[in-house]
Amino acid sequence: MTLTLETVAPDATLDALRLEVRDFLAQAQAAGRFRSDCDSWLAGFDPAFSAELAARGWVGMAIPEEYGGRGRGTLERYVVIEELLQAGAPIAAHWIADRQIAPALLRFGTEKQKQTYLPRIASATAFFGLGMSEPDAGSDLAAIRTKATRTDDGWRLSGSKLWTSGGHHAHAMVVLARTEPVDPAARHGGMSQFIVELPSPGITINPILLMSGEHHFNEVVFDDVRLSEDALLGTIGEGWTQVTAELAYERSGPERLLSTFPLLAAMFRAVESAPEPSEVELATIGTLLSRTRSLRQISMSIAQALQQGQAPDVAAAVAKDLGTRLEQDVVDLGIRVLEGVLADEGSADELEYLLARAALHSPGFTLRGGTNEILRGVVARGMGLR
Amino acid sequence: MTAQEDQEIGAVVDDIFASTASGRGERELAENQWLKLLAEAGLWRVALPEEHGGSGGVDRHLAAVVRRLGYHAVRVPLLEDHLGAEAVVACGIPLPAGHTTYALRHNLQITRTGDRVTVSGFCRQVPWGRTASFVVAVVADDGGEHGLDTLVVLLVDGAQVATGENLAGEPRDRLTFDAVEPVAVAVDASALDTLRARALTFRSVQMLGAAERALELTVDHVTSRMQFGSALSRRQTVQHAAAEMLGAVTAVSAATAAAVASLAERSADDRGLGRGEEMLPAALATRVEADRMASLVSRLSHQLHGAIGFTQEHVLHHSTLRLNSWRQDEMGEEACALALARSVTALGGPWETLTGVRSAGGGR
Repeated sequence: MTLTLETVAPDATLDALRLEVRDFLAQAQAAGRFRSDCDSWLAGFDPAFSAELAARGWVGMAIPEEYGGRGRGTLERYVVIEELLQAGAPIAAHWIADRQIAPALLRFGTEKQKQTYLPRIASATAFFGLGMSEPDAGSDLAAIRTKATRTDDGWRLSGSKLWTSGGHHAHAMVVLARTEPVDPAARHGGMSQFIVELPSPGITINPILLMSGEHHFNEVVFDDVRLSEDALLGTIGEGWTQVTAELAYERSGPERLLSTFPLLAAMFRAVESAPEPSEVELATIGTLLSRTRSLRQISMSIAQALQQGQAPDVAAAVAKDLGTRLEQDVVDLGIRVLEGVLADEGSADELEYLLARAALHSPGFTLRGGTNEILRGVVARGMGLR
Repeated sequence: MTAQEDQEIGAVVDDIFASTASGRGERELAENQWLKLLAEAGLWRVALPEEHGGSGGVDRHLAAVVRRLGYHAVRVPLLEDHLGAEAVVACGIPLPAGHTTYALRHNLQITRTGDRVTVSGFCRQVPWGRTASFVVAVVADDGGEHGLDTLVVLLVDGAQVATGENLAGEPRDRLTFDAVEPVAVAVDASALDTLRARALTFRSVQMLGAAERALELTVDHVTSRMQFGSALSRRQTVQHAAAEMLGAVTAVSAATAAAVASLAERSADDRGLGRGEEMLPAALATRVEADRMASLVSRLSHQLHGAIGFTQEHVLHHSTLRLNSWRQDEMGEEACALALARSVTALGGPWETLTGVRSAGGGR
């Protein structure tokens, strides 16, 4: 079997948009507005920068105009996000809201929820977190224990979530909770999604520090938190369906292959500008660029297919599996091949800084958003092997 | 052209093979019989203009045919002839009877004495050199015209032929020329880049077809072979290895589609030598991916087949030996990766190379 993906044809309008973003970023960087970083969609929290992007119409692009967005298509969003990622721009503040919450609200939200949150997402004034994983439920999301119990005027939420990125900055989070006990015959049933405002009484947010010392992730504890009727997102009991509805989109994005592109570009500049550029180093970079090129083709083709209403779930699993391994390989080859370069976060040297940043974040690439082992299982199922 | 048109052409090719020898894998007709069948179906020289005996199609049609030939492991120089014939037509001379081929690995030197031009040196690993009528080669910057390539068309009859074969038993011959006059000569700024780009791209497509066959055989095998009371496919390690193979094939499918699209889609009346500088980076990157896929698919398909797969009797080797052989054609993987990296600066940088778009004065 081969997965059929249509190549995305060159488009002058998309090219012009791309250059607009690229030029803006070049100027912003030159003005010292930001320092290029790897994994900037996780690590680069900069609300003022997010606001600047929003003012230019580059946040919440796909949100319809009636809700404060620009009503742009999937491919337009794609090229903007690609340019931001390859420049290593600080886009973490609005990332989850823009990329995951807005589509969920558009699909499953009530009119009131859309009116309440979408304009704020588009203006980068509402940041969101996600409450999915728990101490005993990572890949096996059906094993969650956070519970939402029905009351006269809404729900009460109790339990704890782990790995909530940006939870400490978020204005709200979308929480997956059990509204029915587990039915062994249908483990993924009985879960629902809730929009929970932050801060709220009964919610405690504890930092989880990365091995780099950075604070991105959090444990969020819910102690009998009161939720109003309006907090339910979508249909009760349909939480799993809702969560998985966007999987092809979430798994196939450019952030699944470009997290370490700033490092790759810096590697190229350093190697190429040496008095006698090493052929070994150059060939290594050539290989990494070749892999980036083909994975980018897959990713863009999937974006195009999504725009056409398709759901290429197997292709998306392939894209994320290969893309995230490429991201790790960029780091690994940098460490192996670059003579005399020390990965050092404190270095003023761009290459040493980026290599360190990427290396410290590297383990997460193949774990977040579906581990690569889970993804390969999805692909194998698509091949009829399980 | 859509994926559907692609499949329709593929189906025509499949019909041809289904109507002949039994079983899958290496076909048993002689090469000239395949040539006749393919010509009758309009698939020989599919993207050459009709006035030159072709079908008047475009590069995507050629890619669809080449992919299926790779899949069916057919012994026929369709790809080599097509590229050779394109160059012959571009030189404005008639196509010979029989087939043409090309040589990218050579040390040919051009000597000009007054009006007379002669060529000396050898061409190595020429695909089907021994049966070709013409061989096409490009001499870079031959000294007579600095910065320009010279395309030469040589009569194979005028060469000393030393035969050789790749791992799959396909002809890869050495042709030695001693002060022979070319049949035609054409000077062009980028003939070498064009020939290289096209050869690398279409060979990658051919490899994709072979890999698809190896993957298909593998899935058939692991879902039917029983050990310890259940099919091999029940094991997670087997599932993941198969998923790896599909991943590699998908990457090359995407890469080749984009590379073919970036070759100038030639209409029937635009048969120039083309501008190589934009197509070559795409071709180099595609070939690196195809080579990596070939390595992975050949290794894993054999591993998942067990010992049965490495026998003469089993058809798997027709695909895997081709995959490993074709990696060695034109330019090797490391050479392609190096050449790609070396072209990045002129294209504006790594991201500009990937997107094909550059700022302020650059452009597509």
